[in-house]
Amino acid sequence: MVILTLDGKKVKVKEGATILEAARANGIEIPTLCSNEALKPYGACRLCIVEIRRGTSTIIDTSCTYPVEEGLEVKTASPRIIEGRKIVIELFLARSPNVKIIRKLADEYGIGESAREMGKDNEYCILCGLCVRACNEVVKAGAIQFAGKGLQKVVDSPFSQTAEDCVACGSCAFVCPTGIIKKTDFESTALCTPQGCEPTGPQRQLLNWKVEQKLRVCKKCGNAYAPEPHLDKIRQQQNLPNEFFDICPSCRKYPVVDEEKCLGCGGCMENCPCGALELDDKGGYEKKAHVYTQNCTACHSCELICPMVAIS
Amino acid sequence: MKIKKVDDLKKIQQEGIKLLSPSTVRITVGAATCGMAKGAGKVYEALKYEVKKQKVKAEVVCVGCNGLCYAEPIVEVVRAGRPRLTYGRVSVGRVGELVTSIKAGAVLRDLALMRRDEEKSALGTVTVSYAKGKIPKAYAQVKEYRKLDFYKLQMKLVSKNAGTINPEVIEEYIALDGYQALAKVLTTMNPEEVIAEVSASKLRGRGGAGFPTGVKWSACRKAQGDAKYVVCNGSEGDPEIGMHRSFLESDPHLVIEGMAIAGYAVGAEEGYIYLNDRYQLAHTRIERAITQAEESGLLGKNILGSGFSFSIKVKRGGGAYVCGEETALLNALEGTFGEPRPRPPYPAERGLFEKPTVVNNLETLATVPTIMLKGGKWFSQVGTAASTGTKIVALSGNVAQACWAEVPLGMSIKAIIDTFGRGAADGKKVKAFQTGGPSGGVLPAPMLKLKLDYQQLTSAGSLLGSGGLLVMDEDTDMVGVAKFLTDFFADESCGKCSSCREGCRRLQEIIGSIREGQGTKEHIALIKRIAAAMADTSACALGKTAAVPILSVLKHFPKEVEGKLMKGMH
Repeated sequence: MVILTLDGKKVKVKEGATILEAARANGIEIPTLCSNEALKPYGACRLCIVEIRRGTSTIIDTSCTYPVEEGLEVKTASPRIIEGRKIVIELFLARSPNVKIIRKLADEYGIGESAREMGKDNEYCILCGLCVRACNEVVKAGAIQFAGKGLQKVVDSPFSQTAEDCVACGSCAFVCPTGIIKKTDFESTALCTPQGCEPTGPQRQLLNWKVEQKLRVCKKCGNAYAPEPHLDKIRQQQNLPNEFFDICPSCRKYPVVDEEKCLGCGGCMENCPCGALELDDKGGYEKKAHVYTQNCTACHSCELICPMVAIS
Repeated sequence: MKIKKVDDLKKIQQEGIKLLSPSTVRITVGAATCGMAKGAGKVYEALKYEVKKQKVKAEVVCVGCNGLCYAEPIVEVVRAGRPRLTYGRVSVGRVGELVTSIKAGAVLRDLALMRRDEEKSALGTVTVSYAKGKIPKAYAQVKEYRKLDFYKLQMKLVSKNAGTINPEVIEEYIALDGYQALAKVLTTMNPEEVIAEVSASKLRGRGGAGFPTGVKWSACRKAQGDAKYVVCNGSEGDPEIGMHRSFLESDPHLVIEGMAIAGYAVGAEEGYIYLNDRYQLAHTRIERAITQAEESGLLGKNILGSGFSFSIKVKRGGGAYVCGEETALLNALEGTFGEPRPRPPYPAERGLFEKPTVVNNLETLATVPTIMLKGGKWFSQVGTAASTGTKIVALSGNVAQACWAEVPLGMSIKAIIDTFGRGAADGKKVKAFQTGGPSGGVLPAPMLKLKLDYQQLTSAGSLLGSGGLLVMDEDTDMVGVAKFLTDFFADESCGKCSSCREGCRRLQEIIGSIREGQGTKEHIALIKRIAAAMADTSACALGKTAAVPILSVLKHFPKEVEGKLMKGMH
């Protein structure tokens, strides 16, 4: 444990935490736009700046990137910090005057409009990098990246073409604080050519990355529930059986064998990708299937193969 | 020949001395980029042709730049037993005449800049004497180089070989006590002693921040890691200087030696040179130097039988200004975005590929061999008490003579501009100057009395930085300068930090409208507000100093800025 001073209060924090985490654990609110617990600290939005006194020197740094140290004295809302934050918000306001989260922040800090002398743009992306980092660090797809440098910096798919590594998971749209990443699921679409139209089944579209991917339909309930490439990626990462994602999570349960109906043919056992089924001797020549749930991944392949519909 | 022992180095040294003062004639052409731009390539070809035509037994070689960039193309002639003559501004048309004069043993008086009677090596143990016996009258009329102001005020420690040796021949480097420092370190010192020596020298980083090199090295030495790296920062994204370029083009082995010593001190076995991609010739020469060093056994496994192994790779960067920032450089080396990383952890703890890394400026590393040879205490007495050693200063802008010179720290800026640059061009007055590249403040002429050291320049609102010295004459439009420098930062910001990216964008707009006569007092107030926030909230030195030039123009040239404001509004 490390002891440091936060706004004049001595607090105990576990080692390795950041100042931001320490502040939040102690009920001190620091505004952020680019931090997310699931992602590595990045420090792009500069809103979470704090004054850090370390020994004899005082520095200003982002609390989301600065690890706690014994004896640090941190001020999270000194006049200098508030002034710095205000101008950063004003600069954001000039960039993205129509983004809700920026408007909300501006209201909290009592900023009506950005200064008249500043130019105004109408960008929706605030370049916080959450989408890029989620795609790289969590999904590990690496489908989108920053492109350009400095004032030309944007988030884009490679060469502004279809993002080929995109698995259409939609994490980017989920983490985006401004809502500029559009994720749309279609019940059914059709691929139309001069020769005629062909239905393609349910699809997910991510317009920003020019991506359209098929959605997997649950073999049990018939609902389209997740994009195919995403499921394939998880399956490969986790080394899961091929049939694992045939069933959607809400239909997924451990199979139960109806012993009345079971013939003991062993088809389910042969077919089980994880060896979770075995035939138990029930005396005489009678054998019945038994599910060992510790091995079972609830892929339901046994249910689909059973000739007697004895597994459900 | 493979160098396995220190004695082998001595043998090669003798070979090198023969190359430097041959029994025939040696003609050298200053063929660094500055010379090439002025036609040194053609002069070299013409010399080779003429030498053949006039049947003169002479060897024509390319060397680097000796600092007299304004007098390029520079040709030097070494004749057995005669002083080494330096000719400046040699055009192709005069090459025939030059070779004829060499044949006749005469001197071309109008082109001759200086003569040099002998060359002392770094340690002073070896003297290459060119002139033997009495100096003929024609030669004696040419000034000795030490009597020229240009050399009198210089102290050549780092750039001592530049312009003298052929950068593509390792023997010539060894001739002037090259690799002696490495030999001394590997055979007689342990890593802690090396670091102690560097600490005693009070050497500070020559890149921008001026961090004490000894502290950096000992932090990296103490850090735990299965591998460590030495990274040489040759990014040099500043628009007006090319010292690293000139350096690698003139004396690449000195950098290699410095890196190997750093590697030994911190416990690293691999080094990287991050080089600006625009430096084509420098890249060719450093690659060749590395190959030569490897072939000679001065790089690679078990150097000089000490058990220490070190290898160097060169990585070319895109030349972005931000990649001179050490953590952005590390990102670029790893192949990702050239964006600064959050600090802490510092590179000395977790740097390249998450391993302890020491990142040093090219000039810092090139200073190390001299410190090892002459001792840290000796070095600490050069310069001032707080800023020790020498610094290469590159003069550019409206100076009469664009050049670079190595001066002991503590020299006044006025002396530097007057001696080496010969004042402003066309007899004009100096109006302002900027030190340390684009991040430095633009200071007015009365501040010319400032001394070139870390502290004075920092307290004046500028920095020593990379040692660039940009001179502006009386006709310079200061608002234009502010606009140029703000455009530069807007162009070079990596775009990660919101404050730097958006701040640069707005500053660019505001200074643009002031320049067009649309500005008001509110514009100036807004510049100050944005500048303060950028300095406080940006992550790296680029963002923190992006507003320094514009602020310094506002501070030192307020009348000129106010004159540009909208009429009736001030």
